[in-house]
Amino acid sequence: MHEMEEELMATLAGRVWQTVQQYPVKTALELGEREFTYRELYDAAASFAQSILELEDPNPFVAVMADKSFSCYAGILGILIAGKAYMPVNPRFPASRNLIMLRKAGIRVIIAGENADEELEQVLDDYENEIFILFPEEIEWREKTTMIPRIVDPDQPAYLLFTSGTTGEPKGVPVSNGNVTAYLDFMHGSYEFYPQDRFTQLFDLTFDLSVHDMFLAWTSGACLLVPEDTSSFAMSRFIREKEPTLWFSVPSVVNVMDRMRLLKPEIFPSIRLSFFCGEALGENTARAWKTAAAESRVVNLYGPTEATIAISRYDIPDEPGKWKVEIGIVAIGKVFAGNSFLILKENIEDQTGELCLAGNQVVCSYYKNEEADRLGFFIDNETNTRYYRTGDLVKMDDSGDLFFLGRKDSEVKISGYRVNLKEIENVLEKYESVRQAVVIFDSREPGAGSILAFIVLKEDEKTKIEEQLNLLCRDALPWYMVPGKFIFVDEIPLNVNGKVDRSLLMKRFHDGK
Amino acid sequence: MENEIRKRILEMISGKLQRFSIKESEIGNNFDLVKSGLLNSMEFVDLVASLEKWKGTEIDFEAALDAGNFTTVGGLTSAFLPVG
Repeated sequence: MHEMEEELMATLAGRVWQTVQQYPVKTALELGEREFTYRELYDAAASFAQSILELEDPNPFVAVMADKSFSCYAGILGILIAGKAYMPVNPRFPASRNLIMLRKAGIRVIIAGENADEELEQVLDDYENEIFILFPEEIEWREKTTMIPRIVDPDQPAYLLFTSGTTGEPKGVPVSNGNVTAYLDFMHGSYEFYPQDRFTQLFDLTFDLSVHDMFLAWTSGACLLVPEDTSSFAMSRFIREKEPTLWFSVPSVVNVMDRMRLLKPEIFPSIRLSFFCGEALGENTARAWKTAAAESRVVNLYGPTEATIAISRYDIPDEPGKWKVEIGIVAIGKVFAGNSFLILKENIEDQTGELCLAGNQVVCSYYKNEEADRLGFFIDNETNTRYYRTGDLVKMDDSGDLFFLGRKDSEVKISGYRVNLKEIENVLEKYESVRQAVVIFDSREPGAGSILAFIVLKEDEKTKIEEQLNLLCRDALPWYMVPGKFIFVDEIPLNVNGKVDRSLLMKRFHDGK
Repeated sequence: MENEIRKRILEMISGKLQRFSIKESEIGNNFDLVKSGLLNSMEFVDLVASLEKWKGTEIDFEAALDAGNFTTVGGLTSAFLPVG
């Protein structure tokens, strides 16, 4: 391989460019009823890349604020072709939260979606930096471009995502080209993907599982299928009409379909490979899916954003009796080659401990956040290896398969999104009438569960303020973090160690006291 | 029958309407319970399950979804009306 080609293959954009050379007229993207070839996608992306380069912005990140559209996907690819990293911003998330992310990343260039004007205005009203907005309609479109992606160091970020943090502000996770290509190499080496494959793309672009869909498809010459309606209700029809061969979703989507009695035997014959990630995969959920997608191999993936999409996998055997399951949850299997792990136990005789990860998929640090780095990473003195602490409690069986057992902190997964309950408490406690807020995820609620906010009001506060608190949360937090119920209590019970007694709070709630 | 089902739906979501300061009179047949953000997917399925229990019947979700407006108040009401 020539040196330049090797360098290109070390970047995400370089790998897509190579696919474009191989399959220029194949469909790369199906958005509802509209289809776009690899050539069309790349030409549009190169047009964005040219505009970005002309701005000579020194910042490594460019934001994309758009609903899923052709411009949005071309914009993401264009940012990478220009040698930059993309930062997805969901226009439907609260402006205040989007503003925090733009500020943290020091964004100066934004690619705007066709219908994001109003949301952009709301965010940029309070933004201090000079900003250049690239509107698709103002881009000079190029056809049959010969533009080759910029060669960048594999350590340079490919994307920047934000996860929920304890301090009340999201943390930036910069994932490098090297991290993502390591993931792609592992997946291509473990499963076969073909140009005739049709990948689902159900995840929001602020969610790193969307990177799996886009870049496994576009490094296989396959087609990415983006449904117009991504709600769980629309999925059964979408599968029957669009006939994907590869499925990737959070388990909650299957739970909704199952409760709607839509998972009839062998109803989805087109699917040959199904991945689940983002939440614990329940045994019953996996069985329901196996019934409907009977021809499909089913794989349970596990991985935090800091370890690039997924870093362990469990291929569920066809024979139901051979499944590895613990407390009703399917195993998360073995960590991918090229990465290592250790289980940090409080006592040597403990069965369970915190999963810590290192290797070519694990990011070096958070973005400009020393406090989060200090809490999230450590050096193992024995091996001189830097590990990331996942906060996930696991145990390992004799054959080396890992089992997810829960969290050691206040983080939960809701519809696949990471939610730190302390972030919600921080938002609520900013309200002047609130003395204390304790937020609990009630896993007894069916399906996605429910966030309960227990509130103690200040003494002089006589009126219930549920409506204001709800508005406050909707203004500051994305929809999946807004509490489902506000419960006003006189005091928060403490246990013998002086910590909040969450079990007692929940018991009182369920007993109706 | 239609009014009875609609009334029951509004009763079942009254807590949510109160929280979002939405008056019952603002809820037309085209009001989408999910797209409006009032209910999430699982809450909507819970609502359907409660209506099924109340009516003592099971609806055909596939047919209801194919109708295209299932998550609206009008669409949900229609799903519980007798066929024909």
